[in-house]
Amino acid sequence: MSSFLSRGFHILGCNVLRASSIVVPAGQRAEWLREWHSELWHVRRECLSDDSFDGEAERQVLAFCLGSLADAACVRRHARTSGVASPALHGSAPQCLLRLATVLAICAVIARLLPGVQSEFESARYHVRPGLLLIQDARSDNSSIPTITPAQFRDWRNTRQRSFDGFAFYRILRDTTFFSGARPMPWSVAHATPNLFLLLGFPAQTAAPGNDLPAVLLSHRAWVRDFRSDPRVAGRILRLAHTTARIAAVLPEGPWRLPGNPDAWLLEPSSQIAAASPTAPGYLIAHLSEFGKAEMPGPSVTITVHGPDESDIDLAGISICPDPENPWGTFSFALFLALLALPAVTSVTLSESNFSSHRPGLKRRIARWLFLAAKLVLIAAIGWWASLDLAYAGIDVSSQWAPFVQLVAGFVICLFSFRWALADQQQRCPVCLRRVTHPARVGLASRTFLGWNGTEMMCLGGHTLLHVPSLPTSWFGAPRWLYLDHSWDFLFANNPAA
Amino acid sequence: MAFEAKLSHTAAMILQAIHAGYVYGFSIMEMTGLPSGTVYPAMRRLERDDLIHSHWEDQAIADAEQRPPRKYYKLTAAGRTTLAASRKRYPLLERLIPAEEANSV
Repeated sequence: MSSFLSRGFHILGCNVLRASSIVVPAGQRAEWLREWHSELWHVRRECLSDDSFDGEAERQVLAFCLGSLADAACVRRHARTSGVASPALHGSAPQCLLRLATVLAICAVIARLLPGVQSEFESARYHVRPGLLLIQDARSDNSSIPTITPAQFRDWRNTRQRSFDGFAFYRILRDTTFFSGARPMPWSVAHATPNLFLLLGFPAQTAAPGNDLPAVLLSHRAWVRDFRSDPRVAGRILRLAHTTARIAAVLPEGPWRLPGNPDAWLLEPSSQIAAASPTAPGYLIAHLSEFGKAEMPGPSVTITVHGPDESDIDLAGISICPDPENPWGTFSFALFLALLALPAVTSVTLSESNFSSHRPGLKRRIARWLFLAAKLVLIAAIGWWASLDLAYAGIDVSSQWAPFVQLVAGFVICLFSFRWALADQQQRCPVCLRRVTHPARVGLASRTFLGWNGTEMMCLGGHTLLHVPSLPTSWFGAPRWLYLDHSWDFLFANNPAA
Repeated sequence: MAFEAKLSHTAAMILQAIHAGYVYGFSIMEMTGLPSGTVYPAMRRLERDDLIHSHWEDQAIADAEQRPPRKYYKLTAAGRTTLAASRKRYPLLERLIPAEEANSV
């Protein structure tokens, strides 16, 4: 038993060392582990006896092992502070692309976590059926106020129509909702005719499983708020005021922005809706027939109907069309504007000027252009996700400000990031694509008349020098590359980047 | 000297212990009474500052004694100079860890 316990402590100690070694930089890990294992062996020999288990001694040995974590952290800190960036990696093209990819991944992950962005994507998956009108009394200025009674709806539905081929009706009521495991809650419930979602073009099943009870469709908001986004919510039974219903589906947020903004949609026969409160107004949704579409183009139409007493009733039909602004369209426009504005904020000349006729090989020139293209693509992708993050971070998905924020954010991010990409490209060695470094000022404009003055930078690989004039002149306006020949090699002989 | 002002009492004790002949981590821990989480990081810092240097024991010696080889530490010239300065700053250092005790371990 004692040997079993002792063996267990030994394994635990070894595992503590192994776990601590993860903190140590990979290059030093083997030697670090070797020293600690060696020390542990000696510590165990000094502290423990062979014949009996000593809990106190084992505890001391374990405390010794736990000290390895502080040592590992110390080694890591030293490596970080003393470690100059490897010349082979310093400012290299893969490092640059890796950083951009990391930023892109962060922006994309944030977007996946933002409910606003998800709602926008979700709504983009569904399309509202064309030709839908919300019909209301023409005297009402506010489309969110219900004006149509169930009797009017019944009359319209029962009358033969040329301009319309479908009608649906709903009315918003405040119902106390009961469901198992939660307190009663006052919900805003839309009592709708069963054909409402078929008319709207909602593709999911709107009949309750089993068909034994009326179907209720939850709004996305209520599903998240009251059911904590439970994916198994379909089929559960609710009681809405005096009606027991079964949950059929959860509506995605966004695509059907009908007035009322209810928490749930209870599908009931129209006779039941009318019987419950025959004069209470609601909302009437109609679908235009082919004839009606030809007769009534445009976002809003005026409809005159003859009442039962031969009087004319003026109604207004407002088109329920999907939001023409979609995130991708907004971003594409921002990208287009940024590309247009780019020449105004930076020089887009990427032609190479050098002191001699020497030019890098075709392979290197292609690699340079591919690197620039990769940077621009990554920046555009970052602009897309970052603009979405900013636009939908704190603004409701139905807000009109979201596309505007996305447009501005996308434009600013793309414009200045493209500017950076071009400036970065101009300071990369054409041979190895590493950023030139070690700037040295040569001459002073105030002291040299016709002599060159500016900044000289060098490629760490020893391929090139970049001369940037401090005062562009007619004979030296753009930065020039000086390709170094083999006589310079000895200077970079010990440089791993060379 | 830059290190004289910065050397802590712990670091000075470890330098003195190495000077006294306690040349591997566990013996320094035993002599100074400091925990492993203090001694080993301190030795890393001293080695980084070139006050001590380390070397692995010959494998043949360890094999002969049927144990793993140890990593030994030794004062550098700069370490000896710094230790001399530290003794002035911490007068009890030599009495805490006298050199002759190392022979008995």
